[in-house]
Amino acid sequence: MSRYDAIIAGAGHNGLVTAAYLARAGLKVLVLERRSQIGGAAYSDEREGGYTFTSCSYVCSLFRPEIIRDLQLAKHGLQILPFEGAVNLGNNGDYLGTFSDHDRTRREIARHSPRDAEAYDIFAADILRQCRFIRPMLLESPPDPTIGRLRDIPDLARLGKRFAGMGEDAMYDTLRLWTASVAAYLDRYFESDLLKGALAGTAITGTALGPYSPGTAYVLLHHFMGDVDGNIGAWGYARGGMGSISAALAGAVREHGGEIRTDAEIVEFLTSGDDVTGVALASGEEIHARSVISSLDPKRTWLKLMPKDKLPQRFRQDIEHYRIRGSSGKVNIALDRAPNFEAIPNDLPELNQGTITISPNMEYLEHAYDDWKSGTWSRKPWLDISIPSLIDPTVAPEDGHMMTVFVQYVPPKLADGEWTPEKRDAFGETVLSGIEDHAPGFRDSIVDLEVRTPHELEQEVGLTEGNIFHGELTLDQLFFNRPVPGYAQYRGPLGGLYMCGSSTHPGGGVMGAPGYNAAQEILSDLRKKVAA
Amino acid sequence: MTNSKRDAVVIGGGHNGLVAATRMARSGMHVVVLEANEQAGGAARGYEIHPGFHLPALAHMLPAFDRRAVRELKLGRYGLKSDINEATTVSLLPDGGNLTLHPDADKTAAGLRAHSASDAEAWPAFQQQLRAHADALRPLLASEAPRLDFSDRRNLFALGRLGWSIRRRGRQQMRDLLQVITMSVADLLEDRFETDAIMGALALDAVLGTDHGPRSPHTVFTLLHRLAGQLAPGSRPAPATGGTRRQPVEALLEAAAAAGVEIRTGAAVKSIRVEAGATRGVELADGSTIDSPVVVSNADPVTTCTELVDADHLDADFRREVRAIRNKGTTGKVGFALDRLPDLPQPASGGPLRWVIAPSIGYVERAFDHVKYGEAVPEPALEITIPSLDDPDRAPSGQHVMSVNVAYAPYSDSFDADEMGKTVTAMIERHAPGFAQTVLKREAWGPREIEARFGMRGGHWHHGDIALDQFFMVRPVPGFAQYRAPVEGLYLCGAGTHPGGGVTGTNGINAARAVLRDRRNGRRAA
Repeated sequence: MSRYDAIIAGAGHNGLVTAAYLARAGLKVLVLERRSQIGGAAYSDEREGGYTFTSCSYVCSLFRPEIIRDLQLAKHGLQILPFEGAVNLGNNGDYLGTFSDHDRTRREIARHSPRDAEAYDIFAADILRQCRFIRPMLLESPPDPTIGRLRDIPDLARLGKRFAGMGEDAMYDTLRLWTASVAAYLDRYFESDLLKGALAGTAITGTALGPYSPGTAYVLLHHFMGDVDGNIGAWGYARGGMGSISAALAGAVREHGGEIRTDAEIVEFLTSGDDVTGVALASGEEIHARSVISSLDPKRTWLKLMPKDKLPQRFRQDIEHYRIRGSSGKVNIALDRAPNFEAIPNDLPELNQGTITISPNMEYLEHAYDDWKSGTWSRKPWLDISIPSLIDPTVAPEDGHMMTVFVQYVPPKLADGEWTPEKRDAFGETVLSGIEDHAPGFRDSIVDLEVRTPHELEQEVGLTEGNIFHGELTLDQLFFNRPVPGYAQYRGPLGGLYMCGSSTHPGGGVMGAPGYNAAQEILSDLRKKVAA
Repeated sequence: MTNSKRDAVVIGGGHNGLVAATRMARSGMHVVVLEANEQAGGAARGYEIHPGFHLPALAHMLPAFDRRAVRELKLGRYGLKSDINEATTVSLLPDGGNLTLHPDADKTAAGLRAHSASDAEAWPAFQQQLRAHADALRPLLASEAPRLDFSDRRNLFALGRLGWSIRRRGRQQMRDLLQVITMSVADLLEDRFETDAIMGALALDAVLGTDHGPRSPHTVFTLLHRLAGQLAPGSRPAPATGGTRRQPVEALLEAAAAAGVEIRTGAAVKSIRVEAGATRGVELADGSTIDSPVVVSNADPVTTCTELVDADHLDADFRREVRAIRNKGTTGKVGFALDRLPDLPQPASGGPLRWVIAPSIGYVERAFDHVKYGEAVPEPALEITIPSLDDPDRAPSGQHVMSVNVAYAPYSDSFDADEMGKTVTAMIERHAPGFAQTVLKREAWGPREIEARFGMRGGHWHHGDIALDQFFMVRPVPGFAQYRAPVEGLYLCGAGTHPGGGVTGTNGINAARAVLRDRRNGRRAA
């Protein structure tokens, strides 16, 4: 007799979401985390001097509101603080601000190009229409037209009906949005470099492709389909850092009787015949359960923790070919005063609140990608800077500020070999001088600094190659192909082992949807077993 | 004659224009083809590079000609058949060696063994799989794209039929196709092979003539697009030389004449006349007019819809979409008249030969990294053919012509095509010492020169890039993929329409069918 109904490998946000839903349904749940703290890539790191670094993921929009409601995460301390504005900086001292108010954004765009201001209305309407189409798909297992299962037929029919319901023009738009490069997609609307640069940045986040690469327009959509308090496309900070999301989820797990153990590294999944029956820990302890759910990426789940001879050859080959490429870095900085970005007017302080990007034009981003292709970090990178302490005083001491910088592109390995501390520092230097160019004096205000390349993201958080999405968001790895064809329903080829991480539909970003969908599939299997 | 009347005017005498005209004429329509140049044939015709030396103008590799066109135009009578011999490809390597890709997979594998035993083992199944995928796409490439207007049930049926044409090949085959088609050709190859030479050669096939590098996603699609055109069942691709075989343009011109098509050369069209939303005919550059209720344009969609039709007759959304077509050419062309045969390796092969310089994926990608910013490429990838090998009539006895496609060349004012010609000469010299001395004449074109010479806006072979977001239902623009422009009586039949370029005649035959269908329906209504 198993002590547990379900063991969840990894206490990242998706693992915790699955755990919370299963515990809420009355199952006896155990979450095992290798590290000493929970949260995976959604965690806050309390540093000396009263600073809290939001170490990996840093902004919030995609997290599904249904999950916040179901698990009563507000009660467990989760509070999302929307930001009022964001800004993109160019090379020549110019800036383009965006505001939570559409008309204000429109006026700001008109300052750069009146034509683009008009096109922005059309663009916003088009993107919203596409978001409305895709959002209901997020909390559903993707139907698979290639299997020929009975259960997929009504799902596919419903999907087809919703697609057709968009109208002919919107359907063509869908075809192009899912296949075009973000450059081609935006060129159809806009002429302003700063506007295109600002939008294109979201399409390369975490992605090992440049803005000229086909398929990147989808990544743009991926980052638009979230919301804060019902405002689609809005972004915000989790009060206290992204660790607050994990802490709230852990609260929900425990409230429903679930257990969470840290410093508990799984070294192998235990099998009996073609079923997974439990896990073996580094300590030598073995724990059995009726089902095991892995929130780790598929390379770790299937190639590291699963005994080699257990996998069908084709499945194993697909997992080996699964593309999971590190392309991002992160620099967390404690400051003794707020930085002064010269381009941002003093009477628009709200522009500092959201993300401050350095993305002068699409060519700039493509050149940054070229560096990644040739095995170096971008000499002139895309920087996505945020200073959450401007609206969340809990993450920095009085007068001090916490800045967190997301950097695209940083390769998992360098052309001249592995990462070393010296190379990591040189990369950090590139980022700091990039910021200093726009905010003179910024360097003198640094009191603490943490530089993380894909190497650190892999070593610390356990993201293979440091890929923040557990795998590229390209069409061959999305929907019924995620993570690999035939296995998009959160199950692998072995009984009793499920997947619930970002490598499953609908993919990465702190969304919680993979964890939610996996929990539904597991509960449905259990109900079937009970009925039988 | 300043004014005359026809049932249909075809603007441009490229291969698709000729196919459309002949098809309409064979159904009893009175058709005139207006060609701006002194010679019809467009990019598929030949030209004299040097006295006595004839080269294919642009298309030096010919895919299988559309079988419906061959049948309905009775092209067999004029010597054009749908089947051709598949080319053998020799990849020239930097160390002076080479790797040969034969139509026969086992022969290729035998050569690969010297490079990698595991690649040699993997190759036959891989080639078979690629061909199966290309085969599965063929119905999609041949048919008119349905519209996504489901109030007309025929569109739903057409989509279902296409879906079934892929599904009926089996579940695993369909799943594989849906997985690989959006991948980059580099990812597909690097998952399976380790020999740079074989990967470079396939990478070039995937990207040649497109605005993609081998690391661009969806280049497996562009590779299959090319293969599908080339590998019709029982037929194979070949250089546009095939000795005993007639050139498509010659056969088309004879078939057109026999069907009663009137072809006027040196007849540039100035505008398409539209009244009350309907086509009335054309006005020529010399001021004369031709009345006609049907105008079929073989010109590219941007030229047709922004230059030839007055803006007043088209709505703003449509014009915005047309202007947004990505049609900047990326490919150069260098032609040579040669005093003697260059000393390139010539493996024994039943069919025609081509040589490529594309030694690795990285080499091709680095070339792309220049053109994507509009820069000249210091070390381009090349596809080389010697059309006079198969067709000795193309050059005086013992002498030869050579045609080289260059990946890549930018569409740019500052691009120096002659400099590209020098680069290409030096590259071939490295593999065939003494080559440079045998050059009697060299002519090099970048996309700008191709634009001017063939009247293709952007200088793009395909009149618009081949990419998933410009394909099928959204080619040339969404809602107008059925060869009809949004003006009654105006049709498009060029490479800018589905399924894109390549000398297949599919666009022409589909456009003619649309015209004939509309006439039938119109008559019924009347």
